[in-house]
Amino acid sequence: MAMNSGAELPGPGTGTGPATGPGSGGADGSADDERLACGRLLSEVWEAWEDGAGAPDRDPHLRACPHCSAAVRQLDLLGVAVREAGGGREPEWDTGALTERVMDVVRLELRPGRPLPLGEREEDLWVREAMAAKALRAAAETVPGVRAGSCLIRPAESGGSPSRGPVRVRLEVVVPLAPRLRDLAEEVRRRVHGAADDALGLPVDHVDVHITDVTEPAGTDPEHPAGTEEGNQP
Amino acid sequence: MTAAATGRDAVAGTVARVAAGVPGVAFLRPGLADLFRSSARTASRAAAGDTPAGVRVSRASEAGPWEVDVQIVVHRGHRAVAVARAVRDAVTAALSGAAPGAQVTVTVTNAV
Repeated sequence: MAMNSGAELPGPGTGTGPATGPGSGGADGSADDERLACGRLLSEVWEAWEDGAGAPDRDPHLRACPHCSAAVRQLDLLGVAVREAGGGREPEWDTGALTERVMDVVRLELRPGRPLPLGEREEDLWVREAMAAKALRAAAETVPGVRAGSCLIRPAESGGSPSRGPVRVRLEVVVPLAPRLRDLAEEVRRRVHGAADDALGLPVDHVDVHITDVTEPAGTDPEHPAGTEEGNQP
Repeated sequence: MTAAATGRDAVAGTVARVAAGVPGVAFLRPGLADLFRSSARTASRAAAGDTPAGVRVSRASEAGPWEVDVQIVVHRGHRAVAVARAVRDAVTAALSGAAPGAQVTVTVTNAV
């Protein structure tokens, strides 16, 4: 049968080892997956497009190569889709913002990460780790001055492939200097928990917040450092 | 083989149309990498028809239930699990006549 490999399917009966499988976001084989027939990597072509390398004198190969130009055409189609998806709410798209959204989709296409459960245990609904991590990082950054770094989301329990149980989140943050870092970390944890539930529907067992660095709050009154206030959500 | 491929394409087409119309769905997963990965198999792709990106349909046996995998990109501001459930329910309902008992898996891959 001319079936696709189903390598990235999170559904039942596929993937014998989600932690090491080809669809789990591991580095194994992903470079080969991206390689076009001309030898270039898909990500290289898209990054070149993003950098405005479409001018013929900058990289003649991009224009001449049928594989590369087809890849760029697909990006244009994706740009149309993203623009239509954002229509109505954000009519004033500028080219930079649109390109950023398109590249955001592309990055998650290439590195989607492992499937994580959505909803109840008996359901067959999933979210990709990269998208979930993006949402949780954004939630952490709604705390003033907080910058989110690495966000790992793993099954809290072993067994199953892939697991339908609740997940454990490990989030690294850089926070502004504040008198009570513990309270600040607690606020980050609360918002990440809230976003997992409200924005995703991802069952979370535990959120570990690791403060990797502390910064002087820029542009704020040193008498009143930012970081412990409620609110300021977009 | 050809009849089976035709049936699969019909199911996939229905799934793609129904899923894309569910509120909160921005578009089906673009499947950009798949497109290029399979470029060497253009002939077999053409024979199998133009299966929509973001939809995979299979069945273990000729008489077995269809297994449907839908990968969607949602609009920001929508709760991912609610959109995924709506897609599952809409696809299940749409297939109840032509492919009863279909097992529908929904994966949210991104939000825009």
